[in-house]
Amino acid sequence: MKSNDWIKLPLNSNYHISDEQIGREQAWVEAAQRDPQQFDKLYDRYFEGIFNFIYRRTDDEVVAADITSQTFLAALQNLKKYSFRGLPFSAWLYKIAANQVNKYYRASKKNMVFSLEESLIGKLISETEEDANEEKISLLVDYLKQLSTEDVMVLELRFFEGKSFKEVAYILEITESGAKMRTYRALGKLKKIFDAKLKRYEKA
Amino acid sequence: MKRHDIRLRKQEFSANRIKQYKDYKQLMRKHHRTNRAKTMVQFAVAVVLLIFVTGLVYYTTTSRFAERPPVESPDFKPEKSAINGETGQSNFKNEVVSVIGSIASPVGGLERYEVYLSENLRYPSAAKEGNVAGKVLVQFLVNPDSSLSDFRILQSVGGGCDEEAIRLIKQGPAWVPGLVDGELKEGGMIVPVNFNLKTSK
Repeated sequence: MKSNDWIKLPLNSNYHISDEQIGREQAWVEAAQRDPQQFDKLYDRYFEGIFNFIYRRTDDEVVAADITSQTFLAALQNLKKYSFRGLPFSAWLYKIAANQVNKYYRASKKNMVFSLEESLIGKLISETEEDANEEKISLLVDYLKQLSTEDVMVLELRFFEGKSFKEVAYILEITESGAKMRTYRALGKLKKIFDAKLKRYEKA
Repeated sequence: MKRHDIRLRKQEFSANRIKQYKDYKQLMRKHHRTNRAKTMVQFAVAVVLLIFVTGLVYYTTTSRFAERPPVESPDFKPEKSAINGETGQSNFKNEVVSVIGSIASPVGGLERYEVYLSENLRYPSAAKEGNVAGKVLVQFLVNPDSSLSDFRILQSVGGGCDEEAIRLIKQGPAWVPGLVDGELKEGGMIVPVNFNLKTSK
């Protein structure tokens, strides 16, 4: 495998759903658009995912619960405006959630805090063909701190939420090529950081 | 660049812990409450708009067309001041006129009409000697055939000024009758004529 091939590998993600599932979900959405009481299936299906997503961007359980509730309320209020664009319904929910999180940070004037699980950090490191260990994890965390908030948002959606580039672009309202570019650039730099560290080990 | 912090945690949030925040009934309650509030706001906005539009229609139709009671002055009797044998009785019927259309206007526009009035005004000698000045309000009808009739003085200054004001209007530029629902209709106009000793000849 060439040095850059790893970035073209498809992500093995449980979050990606098939066209058939998207179609079934669309039927649920249309039912809920006619009768808001029918929103329960979508609520049950995505509550946990949306909560986790918001918690990863707030690191505060109470705030996350609050924003999750606001997200579903906003979704329900605007459900009639939703139109199917070939993306899973969840992408629309994530977009609302991301906007609600931004609104929270704008109002509170705090800096964004990402709360990331070690197990998923390991997954991100394995994207660079490296085995995760504590040192690499701490290197990665330092690196993520230096990146722009927008770049971390892209990486988080891609590797922690397992979103396709098309979904990442839709949720963050950027272009798909922009989402790809940010991801590849960040991963490429990360690999260089690991390689440099490795070489230092070999010399020693 | 925006700053952010990265914090690590060992565990994913447990599904059971997240479940305790799930409350579909509450979501439905909030949804209905918000919808009700929205409907009320929309209703209030509609009512305010309706009042505003009604007020505007009322204002535009009554303030220009409606008959105003003549101002009583000691040396002025409306019945007697009617010129050319016209009686003081009014033909002004249209209190409220539909806003679809246009009101009567002088040929050349109102601005030029005002210039005409000030340039062609002949200050009556009696008024000059008696130091009489002020604003004469003349009301008249612009008929569908462009003729003018039913002259009345709503506000008089005396000293021959009222008659001069009516002469000015009668001999002045022609008037284009007003349109109501696409048809030429008679319409009442009120024209102020200023008699100012300093600026007039």
